[in-house]
Amino acid sequence: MCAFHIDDKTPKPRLSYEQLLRRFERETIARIEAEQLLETKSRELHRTNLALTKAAKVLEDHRRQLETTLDQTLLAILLVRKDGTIHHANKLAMKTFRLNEDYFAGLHVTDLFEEIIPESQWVKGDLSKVESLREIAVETTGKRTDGTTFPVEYAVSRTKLKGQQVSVWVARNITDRKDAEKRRQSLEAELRQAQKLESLGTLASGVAHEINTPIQYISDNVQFLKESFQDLIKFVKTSQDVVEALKKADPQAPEIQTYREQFKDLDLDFVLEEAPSALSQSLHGLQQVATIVKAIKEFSHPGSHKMSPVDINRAITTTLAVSRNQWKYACDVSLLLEDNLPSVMGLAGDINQVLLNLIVNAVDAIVEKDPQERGVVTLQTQKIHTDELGDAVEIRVTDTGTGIAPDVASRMFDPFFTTKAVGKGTGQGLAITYNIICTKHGGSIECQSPPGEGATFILRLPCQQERSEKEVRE
Amino acid sequence: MKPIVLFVDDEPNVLRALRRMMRKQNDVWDMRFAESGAEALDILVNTPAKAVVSDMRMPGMDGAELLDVVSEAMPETVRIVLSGEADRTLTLRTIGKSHRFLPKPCSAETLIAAIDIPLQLRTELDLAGVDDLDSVWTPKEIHDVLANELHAENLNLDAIIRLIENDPALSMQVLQLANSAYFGPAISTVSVDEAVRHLGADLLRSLLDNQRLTRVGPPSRVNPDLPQPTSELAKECRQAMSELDGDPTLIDAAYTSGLLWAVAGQIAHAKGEPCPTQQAQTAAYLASLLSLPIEMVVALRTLHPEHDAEISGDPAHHIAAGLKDAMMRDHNPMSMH
Repeated sequence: MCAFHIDDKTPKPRLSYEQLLRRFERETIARIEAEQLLETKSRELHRTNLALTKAAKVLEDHRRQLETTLDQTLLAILLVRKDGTIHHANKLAMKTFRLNEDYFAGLHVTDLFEEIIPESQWVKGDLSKVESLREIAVETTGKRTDGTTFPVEYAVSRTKLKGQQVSVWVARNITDRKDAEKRRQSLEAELRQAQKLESLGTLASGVAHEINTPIQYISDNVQFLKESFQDLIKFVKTSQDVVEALKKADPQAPEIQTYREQFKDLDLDFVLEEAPSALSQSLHGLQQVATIVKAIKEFSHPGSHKMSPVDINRAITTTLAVSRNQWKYACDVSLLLEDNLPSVMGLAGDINQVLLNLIVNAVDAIVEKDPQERGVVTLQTQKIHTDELGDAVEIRVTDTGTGIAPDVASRMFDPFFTTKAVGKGTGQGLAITYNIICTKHGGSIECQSPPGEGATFILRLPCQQERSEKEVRE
Repeated sequence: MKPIVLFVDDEPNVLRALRRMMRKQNDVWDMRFAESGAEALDILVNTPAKAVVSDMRMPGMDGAELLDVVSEAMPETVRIVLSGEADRTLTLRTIGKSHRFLPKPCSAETLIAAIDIPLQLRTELDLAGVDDLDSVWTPKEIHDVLANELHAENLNLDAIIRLIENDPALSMQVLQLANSAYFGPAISTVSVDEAVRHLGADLLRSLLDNQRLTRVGPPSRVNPDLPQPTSELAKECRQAMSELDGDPTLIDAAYTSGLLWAVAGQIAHAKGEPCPTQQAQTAAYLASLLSLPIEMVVALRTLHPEHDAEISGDPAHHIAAGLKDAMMRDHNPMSMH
């Protein structure tokens, strides 16, 4: 219809009112729809915006939480670039390695760890799959930026950050654990030592019993022989006189000849002279054996785990008797033991062990100074009274050996500290000594070593152990 | 008749050697030798010995068992353990059944003196009442207090010493144990204080718990109405000595002498013939059985027997004075070991 008239120059036919009305309605509807759409869209936009803000906040929260966690964690965490330089360190890592924000940018992991595990051993993937650090950890020495070191344990895992390969280094300062391990080891060593002494003691008292019985009858027999021999000598002398008398009466008597020949064959002059001293020496030797057996029995004191009165002077002579072989070639022993020394309440076996340690140390120092020259070990005891200990016994062990350097003196009571060659000392002796005297007996120990003059160990043991208990009760 | 001395040891070599070494004692003793507890008992049935010296560890009947039987059947014998053993449980069983513990190896002089001194004192005594150290008992009250003290959490050694000092039976027991080598080396002491400190509370507790420390019973089996409380006289002696001489050993010796003197007095009293000479002999005999230092034995033995009357007048002062005299006569320190 009208479309057929497009090419016509004829004006368009005017729209009818109805037509206009319809168009207007149509347009109105379209606008309303458009506006509705706009509103919906802008509402959607607003919602999205809200969600995004919220998400951003959650993310920020997470980030902060993560950072706080990382900073508060008991592990030092380092993010390390592929070239080994430090990218990021958490607070504890900063503290552990004494890092400085401005400074660590140029640091390399090798500046922080003594030993770096090869990359092939790094954990692939994330660390969360590893149940504990110990499973994969490497123990080495950590190096602080100020040059000090500490025992450290660390593990490495690999991950990607912004497309870059990075590694996460998780480290822990294990000084406390190492110390605890050391303490445990030293306790174990002490226990082993105690067990060794205990079994030695049990063995010794068994052996002592076995030896004492034969010593009893050998001594009795030798004593008997000695007495009998003295009687025999008397008798032989008398018979010699008789022979002389007979000779005067009848010089040619064949019996006299036989007597003289036998006297000569038996070398009786020699026998008469030597036999008594042979027997005396044997008795003396037996006495020595008996003394040593007794000393070993007393020294080891099997089964004395409770405090009882200990005679320190006796403990010293006993310990010297047992350790004679260790000192007799190197030094002389000088004893300055106070008479009427009060006894101390203590564990005799432990105190003997302390004395043995100190004597052996003194002898070692003497030999170290000059293996050719004989030194002197002086053992001195005296009764003292101090405010801390009350009545006490002081033991001084002085040697003429190498003396103790000040840097050694400050560490010598540490467990496992030794200046002796590998295999020569366990480093346990003085630590055990310290523990026995100070911890178990409430005493004190100190060492004086003026340069070039040998060393003196001064031990003080209180006479009464129950003093403190009494005071508490009163 | 020579007193019979019986030696028991399962090691024949020990017996033969003893026989050889002791041959000079043949003039003094009639010596018998047995290789087992059973053999020893066989001998004892026919020949009542005055002294028995026994090893401890033996197969069959051991030394503790043998001495137990002997102490029951013949309480007046002097019983000595001669052993190389340091086994505490075994030793514990001989406490109260034996008078002395000599560790092997033991020299001839020590062994002979340990047998001879009590035997000689015993021979001059002729007191059937002096059967044993067990004639003195500890009253139950004292025993119970001591048990409490020994088991107290906070051990008070001073209180324990005071308790023991006040009881003659306990005092004699600790002196005997300390002067003998039952548990560790012997010391030579006349002081109850020193003896207790030497033995230690742990040993005393274990002895008490094993009923080995003392006999518990009425105040005294010998005499219920004592002439003088034993520990009182001992304290007076101590006081008298401290006025005479301040030497601590002498003061301790005076206390112990007073104790033994009083116990001897009870024994003599029970026999109905309290005579100071015999009381001195009895006290000396007791001291020798406790292995107290020889000076103390001698001092007690020579307590002015000629001044009987004076002694009964003021015994504490006379004991102190006599003791001081006797100790001064002998310049050796208080030691027989």
